[in-house]
Amino acid sequence: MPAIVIVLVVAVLFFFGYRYYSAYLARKVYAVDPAFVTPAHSMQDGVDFVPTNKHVLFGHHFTSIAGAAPIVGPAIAVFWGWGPALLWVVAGTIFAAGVHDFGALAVSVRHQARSIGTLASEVINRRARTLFLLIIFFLLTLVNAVFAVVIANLFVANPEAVLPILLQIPLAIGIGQYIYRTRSAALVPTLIGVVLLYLSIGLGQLWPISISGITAEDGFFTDRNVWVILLFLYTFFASRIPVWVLLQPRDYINSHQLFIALGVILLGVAVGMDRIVAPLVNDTPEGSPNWFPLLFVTIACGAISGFHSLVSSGTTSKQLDKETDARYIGYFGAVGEGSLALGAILACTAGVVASRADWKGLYSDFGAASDNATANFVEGIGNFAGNLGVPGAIGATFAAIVVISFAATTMDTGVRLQRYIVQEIAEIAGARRLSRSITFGSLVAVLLPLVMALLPGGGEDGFTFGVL
Amino acid sequence: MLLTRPVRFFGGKGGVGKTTLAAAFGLAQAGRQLRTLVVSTDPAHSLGDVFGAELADEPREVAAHLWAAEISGEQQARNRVEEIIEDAHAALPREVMPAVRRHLELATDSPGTVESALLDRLTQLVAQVGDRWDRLVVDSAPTGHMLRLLSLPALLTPWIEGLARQRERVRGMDRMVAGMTGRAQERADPLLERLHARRERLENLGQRLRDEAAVHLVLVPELLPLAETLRTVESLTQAGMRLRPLIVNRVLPDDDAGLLGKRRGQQDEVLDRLAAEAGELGVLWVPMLAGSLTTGAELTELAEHLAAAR
Amino acid sequence: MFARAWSRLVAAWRRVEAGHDEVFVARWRQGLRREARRQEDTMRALVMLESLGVDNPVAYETLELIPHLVGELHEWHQRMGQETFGDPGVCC
Repeated sequence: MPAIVIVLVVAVLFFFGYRYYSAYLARKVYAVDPAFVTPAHSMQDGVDFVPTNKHVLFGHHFTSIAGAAPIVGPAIAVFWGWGPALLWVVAGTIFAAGVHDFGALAVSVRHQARSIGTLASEVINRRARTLFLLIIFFLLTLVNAVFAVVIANLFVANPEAVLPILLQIPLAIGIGQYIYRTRSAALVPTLIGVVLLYLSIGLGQLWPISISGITAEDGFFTDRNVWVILLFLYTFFASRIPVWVLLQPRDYINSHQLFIALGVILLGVAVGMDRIVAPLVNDTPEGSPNWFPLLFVTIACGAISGFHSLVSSGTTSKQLDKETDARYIGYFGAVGEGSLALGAILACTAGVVASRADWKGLYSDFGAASDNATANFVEGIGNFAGNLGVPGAIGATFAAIVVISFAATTMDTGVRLQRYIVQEIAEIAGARRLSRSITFGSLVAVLLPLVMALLPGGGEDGFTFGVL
Repeated sequence: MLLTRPVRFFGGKGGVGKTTLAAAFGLAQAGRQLRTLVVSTDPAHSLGDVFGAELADEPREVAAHLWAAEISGEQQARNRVEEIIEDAHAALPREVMPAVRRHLELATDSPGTVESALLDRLTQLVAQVGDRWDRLVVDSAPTGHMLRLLSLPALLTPWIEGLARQRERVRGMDRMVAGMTGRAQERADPLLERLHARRERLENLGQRLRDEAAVHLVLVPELLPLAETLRTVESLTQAGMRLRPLIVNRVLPDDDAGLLGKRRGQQDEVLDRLAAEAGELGVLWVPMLAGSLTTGAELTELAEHLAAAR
Repeated sequence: MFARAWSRLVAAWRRVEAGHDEVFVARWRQGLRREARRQEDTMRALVMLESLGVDNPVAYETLELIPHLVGELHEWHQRMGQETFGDPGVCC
């Protein structure tokens, strides 16, 4: 079946979900009131609390929640066939993610735009907040470990992407400094920056960077493990420099890459009329993990993600102009995330290879599926870009850059967030030393996922990311 | 030896005769045609009694070439608050003034404020040395107080520096935001200017005190004040202050066969130990005088004994 | 005719730029503002220690900064999580 058909059907379903189900939620469940004075008005301070146009706020919200997570999950989950993955993404987006994101936003707006953690402590009790902190702590540890492995795998598979990613750092810093110092509109310099970033792909092709010279064939110091160590070393230092130096400008570039990538997927699928070669339901080999319940944790972002409530209640709720806007922003944000997951499914089932047999080779068992998930996505996007006339190798490097820059920013933010969480938990636990030192906090935030990413585990088949 | 250091502090425990000695020293300097100002910083002022005149914050001439004043931290703090409110009136909207006033009052109640204010007033007087005065003689409050006063500049400067750095950080962020919003805003920051001015003032004072001031420690020849005085010597040396020979006040005559002679015997023990412990610093004896030490003639006699202190 | 079309084009481009700034740059700027305010709050807390009940050794030296910092006091203590503040009459 041509992938574009799927895109159109899902678009129609998403539309109905928004048009009818979210309207029902707004009316009957959350009972949003157009006359309610939102915190953005009642507590307006020009910094956090600013009434914002709903389309603009949607842009802020969507770019905050979208990242590498809705890509990684579906790229693995298509192992069970494209049917289950797609069904979960579509049903999850319409009946779970949309409800959750919209709900978190509506609840926060009604409570002076307080964050969900504070709300948990107020509405339930203090212990709920402690539990909440612990959950975030484990979640961040997992996220940081997974993304380090994802980046390391991509660096090993696409040595051409290493140089552009390294060049992206000074480029982002430069764009930041330019925008801080010049008062004109940011669009032109940003476009130039993005073009420069993609031009550096050419340099990457000329000088691919591989570290296999300094690593061992097997044992502990493999390419991947050394990259993981280097990445955490980088993150430890990167997370200590002020956010406006690197994190914010790179996040800013990423928000443009997000729309470029979505555009490439949609246009590429429409122009190339790629067909889905993966089976609707894959007859998985003996000993593979069952789709239930693993499918539902493999695809989290893109079907439902608790992380969105942090964004919804942390910043978006403080800027909501009218309570009724919560429906558009919350629900549509989830739809956007679902679309990204859909793009990942298509890239890994239609874009990546041209025949069923080749696809079967890529997804031969669950270990292979999880090891190569993002590499498959990158390959698929490369082919979609190829439909638009971009040479395949360049398209693949482009996709690798998108995924790596998202994942790197998430790691940077994750470690920053994690050290506050560590300090807060230490405070509650009465560990004074830990609760007062940023360095200790950062060390815990970096070492835990590092150990997790390096230690062998995952049973005999090496589920998930090989040794993770 | 020439008198090179124009600012002199007289310090020591309460009741050892600091004020009288400072007054006598001032009188001696004035006698050499040097314009001399004697100020008392002790909250329990007695300088006026010594000179037999009503003294206030503003220096008042008490003899030829001799002026005297009694300064107070509380008064200085009050004056400063009034000044600030005066300035703020011009720059700020009227409705915030009550809050400004209340906050200033709250801040002046903070511990340490009186000392800081006293130091501030002293700074003004030190700044006049060389211009309005040839000599500034400070009759300090009891030892601990004086030590704190002299170490304040070194104590406060890093704090003010920290505040200035924090302010620079605020400014840096503001500039970045301004760059992004297109608001041209490159005017000087009044807060930062004030912080820098404050820091400079403190640094200057610290420097001047180390370069131009000397401390005369006064004690009576008894066992208890001895150890304390030696500790003070150490602290002051550490703070970079220059010391003059220790002044032992009220040394009894040694030619009396009665009670006084007996007491002198006890004093001799202390004096011997003091001479040994003071080492290079040296010790100067000032005999116990008979009078009430409030008349010019008596002060002059005392001043003669102090001549060696220069 | 050409000039008019050109100026229209320029105006349209300016609108695109403004829209782009609002969607992409505003979020970033907001982050900076938040950071700037955090730094300023720190500054204010250091200068006004005594109003938080902490001894301030440089209270006298920083007296003249107070009028400049009192202006936004109300918003400040609300951000610090205190509904009422200080002795009666100081703020709320």
